[in-house]
Amino acid sequence: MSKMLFDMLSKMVQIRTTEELIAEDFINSKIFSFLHLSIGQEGSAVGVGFASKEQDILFGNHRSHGHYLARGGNYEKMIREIYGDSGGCCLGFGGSMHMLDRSVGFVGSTPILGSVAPIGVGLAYSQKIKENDGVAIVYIGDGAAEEGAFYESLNLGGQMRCPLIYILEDNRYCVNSSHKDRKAPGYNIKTIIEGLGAIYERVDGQHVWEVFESTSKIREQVINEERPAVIHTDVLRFYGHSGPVKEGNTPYRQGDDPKYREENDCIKNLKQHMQEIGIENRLIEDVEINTKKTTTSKFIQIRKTFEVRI
Amino acid sequence: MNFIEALLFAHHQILLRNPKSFILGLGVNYPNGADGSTKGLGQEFPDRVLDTPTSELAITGAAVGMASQGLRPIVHHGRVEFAMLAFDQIFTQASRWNFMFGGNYPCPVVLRICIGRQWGNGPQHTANYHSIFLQEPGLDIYIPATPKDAYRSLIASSVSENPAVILEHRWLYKTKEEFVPEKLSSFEFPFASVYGDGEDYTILTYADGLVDSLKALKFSSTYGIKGKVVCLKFFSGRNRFPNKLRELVGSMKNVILVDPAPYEFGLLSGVLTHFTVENILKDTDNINIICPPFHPCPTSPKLVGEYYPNASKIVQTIKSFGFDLPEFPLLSFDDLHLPPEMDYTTFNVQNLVGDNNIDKVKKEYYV
Repeated sequence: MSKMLFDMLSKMVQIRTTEELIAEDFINSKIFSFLHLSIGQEGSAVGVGFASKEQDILFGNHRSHGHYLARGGNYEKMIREIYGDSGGCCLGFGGSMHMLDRSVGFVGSTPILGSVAPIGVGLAYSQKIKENDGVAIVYIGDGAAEEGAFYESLNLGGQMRCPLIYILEDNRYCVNSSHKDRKAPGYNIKTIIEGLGAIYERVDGQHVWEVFESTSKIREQVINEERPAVIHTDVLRFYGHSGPVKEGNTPYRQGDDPKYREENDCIKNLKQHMQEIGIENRLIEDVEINTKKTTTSKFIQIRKTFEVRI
Repeated sequence: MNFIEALLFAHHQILLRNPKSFILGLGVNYPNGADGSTKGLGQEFPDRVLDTPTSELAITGAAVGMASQGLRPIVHHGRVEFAMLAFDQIFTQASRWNFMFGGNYPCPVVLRICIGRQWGNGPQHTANYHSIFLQEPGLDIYIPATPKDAYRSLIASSVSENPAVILEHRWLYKTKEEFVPEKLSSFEFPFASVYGDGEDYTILTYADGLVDSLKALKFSSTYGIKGKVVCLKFFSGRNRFPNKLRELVGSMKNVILVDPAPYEFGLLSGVLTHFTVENILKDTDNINIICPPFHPCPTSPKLVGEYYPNASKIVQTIKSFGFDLPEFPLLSFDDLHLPPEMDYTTFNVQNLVGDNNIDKVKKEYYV
């Protein structure tokens, strides 16, 4: 167990370091692509990625650098794709919102909100046909879950007895609107999902091991009970919806200031958890520092090999 | 005034003068909503500028219901790809409403739909589906190419009894034009504008094709070769081909079609086919088409390259007609990849109003 915690920490630090480097580069206008950063939300991506089994397939959305890396997607190909290099995972045709590494079962990511939900049903059905005890895991945001297609897909997935898990990553905001602005008073996601016959579980995405345990458990349940599930992970988005800017006390964030985000940071939470179960702090710090160092040097090394502007 | 400011000004006028008018869409009440085109309106009109869930089909359908009962909703879709989730409501409901209920039952919903190129937006945010909308009778289609067009398209559609789609090219948001905003009673929306009056060649284009066409017009005139640019801007839901367009097309020679969308079965393809069949286009020897290749726009700037028509390609085509042009415009990275900030004010323009124009409508809010 403790080895896995180290691996999770390392993966989360890798994702964050990489995205921070990309954000910095974006500001210098080196990147001609969308940029949706998942900094702050790594716990959900890594918990799910680690709980997924080899035969599973995963599908992402507009904010999927973390999902892709957590599943073990090729690092260099991701960087190259974001910069529009021909060595990217989609040869530069897709850009930041199109992560793909089929060799590890990360079968794509596309940004049109809600359209990943029905695709997920088909992915899951293909898993069922293969009879390999694999599931399809689809990441969807709280905003995309406002699309009708999401609810239709839960019903369809249930009717087709699909091994399908939606990871509903809830960072509280659809762009800059809070749930209060976008949902009916009394809106109850649990009642809706369970009312559609699916499994529902809400988990604190800022605690990666809880995400891991919940996903592992529900993965089995989905296969045994032949019905879809929604794992609702509460996460914190440190940056804006789109672009390279880390947000401070922006007016739309209510009760969510930088101090709160820092105190509930998923990486900090994991380090604290590791200490609590008796892991020596020195070892934890070592992994964090080393990962930062190796990630940075690897990033710079890749970055040196191509020109961005024509 | 730039394109965005023109939209904002029009929105403000409409909300101010018509208490039944609304704006619906994702983030339209943000301090800088809808790319700035609804900036501040949410604060000034909190009950009529409404943020919505990410539910395009439901938002659009709700607007159809509102419009059918006498309200004036304007729906904003930030990309045409998002509006596609609402196609049932746009095509099967709004456009046919008045027809299928036997008339006298208008559904004047207005849809602002952003469309087309934008740096780094890649294959899933840059589609040019103009021709799909144009194939649907009943929808008035506005394709504003300048800030003044943008202002007028909102004002005109907001008092017309027809459902309207404004296909807004985000690429043009930084273009500029000085104009005095008119009251509706003093203008009719032109189906086309003609820039320049040279006879050597005619460029037929629409939307963001105008910018590079004008650059080419200017460039060629420095060598004494003078042409004109015809920019199509409005297509009535009743008749897509006004008689005046027929006259105009009949007089063209050395024609260059500059289409920012794939030409295959597209807008200009439709125009050309129509007038060819009607035997209006007689001099068919010198017709050239400049359009993107038949694949979606990729993301990487290296792959985007010269995907879209540009001034250099247009001038090369003019030369191919036999004109003496020793050189072509040089294009920088920014010319190819960043939104243009062209100022249209200085161009000599003639607006053509068609016999198919918007119905005579209630103008009490604007006169």
